[in-house]
Amino acid sequence: MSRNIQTQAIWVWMSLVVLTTGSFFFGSLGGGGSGGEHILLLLVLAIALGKVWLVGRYFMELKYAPQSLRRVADIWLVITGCIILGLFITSWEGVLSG
Amino acid sequence: MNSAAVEEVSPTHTSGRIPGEAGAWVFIIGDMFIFTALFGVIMYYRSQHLELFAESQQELNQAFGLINTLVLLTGSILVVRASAAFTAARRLVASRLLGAAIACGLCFVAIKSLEYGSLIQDGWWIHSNEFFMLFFVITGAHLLHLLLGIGALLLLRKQVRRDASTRRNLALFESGACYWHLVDLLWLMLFPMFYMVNVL
Repeated sequence: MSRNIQTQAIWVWMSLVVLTTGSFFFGSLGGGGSGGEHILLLLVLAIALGKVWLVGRYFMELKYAPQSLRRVADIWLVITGCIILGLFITSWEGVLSG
Repeated sequence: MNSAAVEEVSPTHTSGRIPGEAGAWVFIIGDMFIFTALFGVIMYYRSQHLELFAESQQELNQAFGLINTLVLLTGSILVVRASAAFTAARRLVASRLLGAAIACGLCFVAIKSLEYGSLIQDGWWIHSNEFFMLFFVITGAHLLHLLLGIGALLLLRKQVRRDASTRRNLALFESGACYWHLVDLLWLMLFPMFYMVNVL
């Protein structure tokens, strides 16, 4: 593993820590019933999916993997993201209508 | 160290190289899809019981969830560094880094045990409601994965201390490391779904 890749991994780890703590405090602003606050929580889930992509890409070294493996991992992320975000958004309507 | 072998497996090009054993990736991808189904179940039940999920989330200690996420992320970067050290034939450094990653895993187990203990003491358990059924079953399944991950890291540490970084050993190391990152990756999704987004 080259020094470049290691440095990159450290940067990714720092980004993950910042995104985790940031979205934690950011997410704690949510709640209270308005649409704006639910958008914050939707962003928290989207950030979590982004963090998963970073872990796969840089820690699991998918960045250097054959395209077929990268594609499978990307398809998994898209399917997972659609299910999670889709169900979150559909439940949202119920929250807003009271 | 067999430098030629290491050079051969180092990801210094973009032509594509499977990190670890191909068989390990079949297991990893399969596990990821199983957890996707579980994520779907959580979000589906949440959409059906919004109030219950919001009330139940209040019973969880969000700080435990946050600390455990940071602990797993730290464990992951330690494994990345250990992998680099093993590739460079710095076996003692790799062993120490793996030891630190194992400590992170044990820290996660300790915090989770504290959390489970506190919830059970307050009267929450699998049959309390839908939220806690999913919480205990799915975080329990994740905890089982983590314990297997700690076992894998212990085996890797033994291997690092004993054997040189040959191509075969590096592939085994990377397979174990990817499994460890999988445990981290799954928790990154479980944390917001159980601890953060259930509000009205």
